This record gives sequence, C-alpha cells and structure tokens, in this order.
Amino acid sequence: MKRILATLLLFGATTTLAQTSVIAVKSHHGDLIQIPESTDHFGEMAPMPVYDTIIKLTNNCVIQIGENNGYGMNFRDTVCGHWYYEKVKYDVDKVQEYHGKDVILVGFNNEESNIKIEDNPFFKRIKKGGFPVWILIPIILAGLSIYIFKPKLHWKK
Amino acid sequence: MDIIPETGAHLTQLLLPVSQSVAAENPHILSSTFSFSDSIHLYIQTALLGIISIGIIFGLTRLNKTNHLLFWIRSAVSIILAFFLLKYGLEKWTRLQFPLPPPNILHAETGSLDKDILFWSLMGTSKAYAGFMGFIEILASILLLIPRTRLIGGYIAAGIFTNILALNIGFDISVKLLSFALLCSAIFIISPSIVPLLRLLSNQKVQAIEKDEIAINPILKRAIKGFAVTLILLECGLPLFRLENLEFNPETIDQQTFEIVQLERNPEGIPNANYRRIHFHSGGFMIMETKDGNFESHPIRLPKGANSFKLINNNTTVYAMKRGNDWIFAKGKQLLWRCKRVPNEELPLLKDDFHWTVEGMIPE
Repeated sequence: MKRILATLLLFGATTTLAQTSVIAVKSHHGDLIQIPESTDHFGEMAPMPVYDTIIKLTNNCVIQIGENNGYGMNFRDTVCGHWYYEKVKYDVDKVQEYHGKDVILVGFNNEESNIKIEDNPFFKRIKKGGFPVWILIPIILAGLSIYIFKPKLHWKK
Repeated sequence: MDIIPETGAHLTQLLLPVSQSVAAENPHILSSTFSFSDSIHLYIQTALLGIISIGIIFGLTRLNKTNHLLFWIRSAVSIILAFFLLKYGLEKWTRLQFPLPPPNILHAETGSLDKDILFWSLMGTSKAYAGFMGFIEILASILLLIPRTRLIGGYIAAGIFTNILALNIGFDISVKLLSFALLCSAIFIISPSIVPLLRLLSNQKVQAIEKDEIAINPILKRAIKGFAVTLILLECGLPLFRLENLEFNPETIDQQTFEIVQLERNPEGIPNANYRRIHFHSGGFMIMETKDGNFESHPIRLPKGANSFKLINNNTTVYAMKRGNDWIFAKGKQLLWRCKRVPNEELPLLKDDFHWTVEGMIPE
C-alpha cells in the first residue's frame, strides 16, 4: 500500500508537467482564443522532427518522411532546393552525416563533395543527434545492480 | 515524457466529469485544457485531492499509523522535487526552457508585450543567468536525493520555489499552482528542522532532529530508490542526447526576419495590407508585421532546412530563394515579396556584452 501510494504520488505529479500554452500562443502573436488548441510544454521550443527516410525524387527535390517528436504526428514533405542538400550536391555521405546514421536514404548518389560540415559557417550545431542510447542499458543495469545488492555483498564479506 | 509513462494525464482525465459539472466554464474548453498548468480542472482536482488527503490523514491519525507513512511520503516528495529541479535545471542549461526569443518578439515594442512573455523572452537572452539558475536547481536536486543532505537540498529548493512563485504571481505566468505545490513540498521536507533552526538562530538549546526511519529490507529500499533515481536520470537526460538545433542559419528562412523592400502582392489567405517585415517562428508560424507595428500570425508548414512553406489555412505553397543579398518569395512564377534579411543576431539584446566597470561602457 505504501509503495503504491509513493508510486502514485510520483506519477500523479508528472501530469502537471503539461504546458503553459499561454506563453506558446503569445510567443507567435497568436490570438488567446487559440489557447485550448495549443499543446506546447511550458513554452519550451517546438519538438524536433525525427526523420525516418529521405527519398531523392529529382535533381533538387526530396521527400522527407518522419515524425514530429513530442506530438507523435507523422510528416511526409516534398522539399525542393533544401539549402544543405544543395550545398553538398546531394552527396550521400554528407546527407547521412547531417541526419545521423539511423535515417534511411533512398536514391542518393555517391559523388564526392568538398564541403564539410565543420567548415560550414552556417551550420551551427549544438549537439549531434543519433546517440546510440542502447549503450546506456548495460551500464545502467550494472550500476543499478551494484547499488541494490551492495548490502548483500558487504554481508558476504 | 520520454521514459516515465504519462499515467498522471490519464488519471487526471478520470476526474474531468467532476470539473465539467462543477465549473461554469464551457465543457468543451475544459476537455481541451484539463491537463494545462493553472487550468480550472487542475485547481478543482487539487482541491479534491486535498480533501481526500485530509480524510486519509485524519483516519490514519486515529489509527496511530501516520509515523509509518511519513518516511514513505517524505521520500516520495523528495524524489518528485528532485525530478522537477533536475529537469528544469538541465533544460535551463540546454535552453529548452527560456530559448532565444522568437524573431517577432525581438521586433515587437516592449510596451506592447504582456509581462509574462516579456519576462520569458528576457530570460532567454541571458545564457549566464539561465545557466546559474540551472546550476542551483541541479545542485538542490542532487542534495535532495542524498539522505544526509536532504535538508540542505530542501532549504535551497524552498528558496528557489519561493522566488519562482513570486515571479509567477508578479509576472502573471500560468504555472502558479505547480510552483505553489513544489514550494509546499519543499516546506514539507524541511518542516522537522524549522523549529530547531529557529531555536539555534535565537541562541536556544537545540535537540537533534528525529530521523524518519522504518524497518525495511535494505535491498528492497535500494531497489525502489535506485529504480526511481534511474527513471529520473533517464527522463531528464535522454532529451539532451537527442538535442539538435540550428540557430540563426542565414541560409534558411526558419527563425529569421525579412524586411520587405518590394511588395508585389500577398498570397491568398494573407490580408491585402502594407507589410513591413515577415518573421518565421520555429513553432510553424509566419508572422506578418504591418508598418504600424501590428503582428498577424499565420500557421505554416515549414520543413526543417527547406526554403518553401505551405500556408496551412489555404494550402498555398510559397518558395523563398536567395538572390545575392535579396530574398525572393514567390508563388509559382508570381513574385510576392522581395526582401532583405534582418541580421537579428546583431541586435543589442542578443549580444553577450559584459562590463566590470562603468568606464568600460563609455564608447571610445
């Protein structure tokens, strides 16, 4: 009962993490009547799109398929003249590096490009995406096990 | 929520019919806003849970069982408080909370803004202050998770949340109920030490504070605590690994401002007015600024990195092309606007100038 109570308290409190939609609406000079339609979380930045597949359609157009992280909405956009793809001339390695290893590229060429992300003054990246989160699982499990069974290990000694 | 399931959102929905029958507000609006901070439903739910809690406490006091529960409740409240502090501390460091003000806000007159958006935007302009606040919150969170330092963490948290509640009331930011609840939680954690501390400060004899302890299998205790802390660390830390953001990229129109130098015609859905600037908001909005300083927001679909967008209300696609120093906005072959990019990054508000001395501020 006590454990259930403590767990419920923990989970119950997380509901209040929903948003101040007021800041979100005011930040784009929206009408306050739109507040009920807003889903922003405490005025944080809009969720980042998570790309799944990029299909090269023509010489300057692609289809981007993915999900708007946070809202769970899928997107399928035809994008022509994308600034970065144009700069790297649709080089498969550069586009792969831009989106991360998990994104599937279809129909891109393999031609070399001399434009590097590091040298590009317009490409200011805070952090690269695509971190293999699964690496953390064994570390977390090992750490957690050592922490939990520490008294028992002492007792055995 | 990334790791912890949104159980609370589903539980809170169960009480929605109560709010809809009690509150004078339109039930449809209540069903849209029920999970929002400072919503009518959240106030009603908090009041209901408060009444139920008082009943439970009264019953347990009669049965003399409150002492057994205190250990669990204090531990759970410490963990909840640590979670909020860590999450918002890290978000202040990574600027997920208090991001750079959007371009339309940068160009709005200060007097035309409400206090809440002005405060939020101002916080977004100082990395140093947001970073400092984030550091204090993370420190309090860590101290709360360690039993020996829980009281120190509780006192720091009480200071933090008193300030946040005052800000939320003073600037009319709609997180008043949450910050009040978190302040109450911090006071609950430090409550056994308040009287001894006051006695100590007034030079009176102080007795040691009784520890909340309960006989429990140490492995079970560690398992519960370890599981909770791991969940918190993952919930707060994972979004940071996924964080990827482009700031003021002059090659794209996203988050940029453009000064209109030639207005040929406006696309369908945009009123036929004399506009001065166009702002692109990262939340998917194109904001048109009129010559007399009014702002009109239009929802758009602007894929990341693309320089073409769709006006959502009437499905019109507009292309933006950079030609030398100019930006051309067109619909098909029809020119709409010829613009110059406004270098928002050079605005004084976004410059991290710092001066130790007054003399350093005097121009040479």
